[in-house]
Amino acid sequence: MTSSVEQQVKVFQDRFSQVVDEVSKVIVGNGDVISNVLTCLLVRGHVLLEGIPGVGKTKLVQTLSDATDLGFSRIQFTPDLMPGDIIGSNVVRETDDGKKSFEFQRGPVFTNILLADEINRATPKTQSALLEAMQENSVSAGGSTHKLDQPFFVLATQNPIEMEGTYPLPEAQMDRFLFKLRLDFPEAADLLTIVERTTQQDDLTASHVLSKAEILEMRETARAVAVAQPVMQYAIALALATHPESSEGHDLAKRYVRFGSSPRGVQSLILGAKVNALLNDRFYVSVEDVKAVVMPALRHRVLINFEAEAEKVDSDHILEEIVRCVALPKT
Amino acid sequence: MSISGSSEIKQLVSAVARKLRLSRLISEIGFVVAVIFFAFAALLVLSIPFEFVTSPWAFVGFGIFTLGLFVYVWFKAWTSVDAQDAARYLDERAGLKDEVLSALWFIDSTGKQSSIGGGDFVAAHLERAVARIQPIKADKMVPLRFPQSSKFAVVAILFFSVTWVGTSNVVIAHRADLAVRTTLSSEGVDAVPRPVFDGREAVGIEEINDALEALQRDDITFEAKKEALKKAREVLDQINMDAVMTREGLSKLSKLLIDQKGFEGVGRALEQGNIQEALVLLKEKQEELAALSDMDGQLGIEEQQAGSTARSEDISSGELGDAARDLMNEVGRPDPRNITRLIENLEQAQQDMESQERANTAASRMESAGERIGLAQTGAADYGGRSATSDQAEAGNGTPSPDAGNNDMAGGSLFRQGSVTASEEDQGDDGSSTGAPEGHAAALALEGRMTQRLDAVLRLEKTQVKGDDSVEGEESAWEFQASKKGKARTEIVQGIDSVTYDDSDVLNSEFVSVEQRQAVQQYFLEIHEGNKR
Repeated sequence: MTSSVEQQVKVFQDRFSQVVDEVSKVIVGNGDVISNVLTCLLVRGHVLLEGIPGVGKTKLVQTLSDATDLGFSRIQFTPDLMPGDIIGSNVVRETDDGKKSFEFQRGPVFTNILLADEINRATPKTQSALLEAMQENSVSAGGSTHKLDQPFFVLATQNPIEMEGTYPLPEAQMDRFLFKLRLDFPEAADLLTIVERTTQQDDLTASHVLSKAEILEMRETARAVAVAQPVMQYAIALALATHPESSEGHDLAKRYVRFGSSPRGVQSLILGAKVNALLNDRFYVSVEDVKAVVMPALRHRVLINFEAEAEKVDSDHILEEIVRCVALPKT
Repeated sequence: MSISGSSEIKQLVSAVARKLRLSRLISEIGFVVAVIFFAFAALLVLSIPFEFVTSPWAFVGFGIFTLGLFVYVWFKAWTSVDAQDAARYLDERAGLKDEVLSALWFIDSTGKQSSIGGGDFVAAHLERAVARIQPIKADKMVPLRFPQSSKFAVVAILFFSVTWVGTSNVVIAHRADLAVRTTLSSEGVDAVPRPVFDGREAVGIEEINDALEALQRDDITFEAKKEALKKAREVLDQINMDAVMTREGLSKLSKLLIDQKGFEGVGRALEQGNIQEALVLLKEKQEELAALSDMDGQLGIEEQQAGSTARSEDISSGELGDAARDLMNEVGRPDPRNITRLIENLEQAQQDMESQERANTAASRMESAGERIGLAQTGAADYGGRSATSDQAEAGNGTPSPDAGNNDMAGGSLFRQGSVTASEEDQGDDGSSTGAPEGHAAALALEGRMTQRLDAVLRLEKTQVKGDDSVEGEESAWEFQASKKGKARTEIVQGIDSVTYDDSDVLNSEFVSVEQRQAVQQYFLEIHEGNKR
């Protein structure tokens, strides 16, 4: 039994590293971001990528789709984008015998990997079109529900500096993203490599290294990792510490946080920790695994107040303090 | 789900938990010991000024409190570490990243695994955890070492020991103890200075006898004889000074005893200088007390109160009941120990007096021998003015002097007492006049004319002063004036009144203030040096 599990874990690790390596051929640096994106894919989550223009957000998603042999769609979100442009719409179709009927024309959401580029430029109505797809993995249109093909993986990008004419994502939508990842400006060495790679005659592209079936198998493996209750309670304690109204809330949260993490935050912590445990050759989740995913899992779920903005305190800083202070609770 | 190896994990965790509890228990006990001993030390220090009642019930109460504290600490320390804590400790020490903690929880939660992950993963995890903990020994994980609190405990015990040794013999006298009106107590018994049993008087008499022998020998030089005589005089001086102290104490004690009901006879006997009679009376009292103690022994504890009442009504023991008010111990009864001490001191004082008498007798023979070879005392500066022969020979009234060893002055204390008081007949002008640049001015009044009456003890001295020429007769040329000793006593009494332990800034090892010592020193200097002047 142990050898079987060990074999599963080994396969998981090998496949994971293959994808990361393949993506890293195109994407320079940001190794953690690549791993976390893949983690989200493997635990049925979605990712919100945030970064200034030109750091490779879109390229990362495209490369990932290339490496995984999954269907890929890209939607450039604009203010005039309508929900139907995303999920599709019923169109009148005339048959050969002259009869006319409505037929559902599938939108770009019907794919495996969906790139929602600059998602905050679309109106909330359009943004909401993704809610059902992201949570239920299905789309309702024209009185019927259409199941999405698995794996369904949304990668949304947004630009944090050009806020004029944008529609910040509502909390409900933000909460549906498992991780929020930040792509920082590359270092000088990385920048040099980027320039070298992108200015030559042939563009680098990633090869298919992971099939859809393999991804689904990896998903099963990730979900099978055991979690002891004390570790779950630690994740819960972390989430509660972000709540200003909670008696277990951290002092910084009480001062700077408007809304704390939702229950999805705890789920995100545990799911992310499971993949982290597998990557660290463990059959169980440790506190260390939970800590490793606190930032991407909770930073977009902790909504700071005006005072925090005025004092330039961001959610990352608050979470760092919470991780430092919260101890493993006694059961 | 397989839970193979769960017993190994549980055993290790239990062993670690036990050792952690033991370690914590030792640590907590160390703190408790430190607190208790520091508290003891503080109580010892505080008991000096506040005189805590150290009744047996207090000790019993404190013992119960200490025992309760230890039981509470033991309970808290033993229950504060559970298996989960031990598993966490093990993970941290062995770098297992919650492996044992998770394994322990999986073992304890058999049947709940469907909700926490794949059963295969749990089994694999347990199997791996067992393999990981195999080389781990609980003793190495939790080495038994002295906790930090043990240092505090040792320091507290040392501190307590030092405090106990330092405070065990300390007796702090209160302001009332310094006043003459102090009632007789265990300290009051010590009013008679306990002589030093170093045979000083015996040695002194021997020295005087040696000097006498030296004066009668012809084979030694005149200078050697002079030196021996000088030494003997110094010894005699010291003996007389000790005797003076003893008499001072006897005088004070006689006053104290006179104020004590039941002991008036003893006080009066002492006042008359009859130590022998005082001793007899005291021994009678002691025997009465012993008899009462025997009766107490025969009576039960319940009957003791009734017995005491009955004795109080008894005529023979009635006086003793009153006397117990002053000579009583902490249970309101006359303290035989104090009486025994008093008897011992009086006996010693009697010996002191006899020694002085013998020394003075020997000194008398020595002086006679000295006169024969031309070493007679030529002045007070050479002899301190305490020669019995000179006093008796030169004193016009032939008054017996205590320095001469004659203590049996009928009806009087050891010294004649007089007082310098303002009198109606006292004149501001004593007859002498002094010249002043601005003209004739009357002399100042006699000392004491306008001063408060003081019970100054005077030594009878006959000093020739310039008398009133207008008065004819021999008597006009002689005046009595306060002796140096009397003046010194006045100063010491004033000093005692003004100086208290509260005011004193330095206490020596005997807990006698420097100011008190200086006052006493000044007293003797005034006597000794004043005579030389």
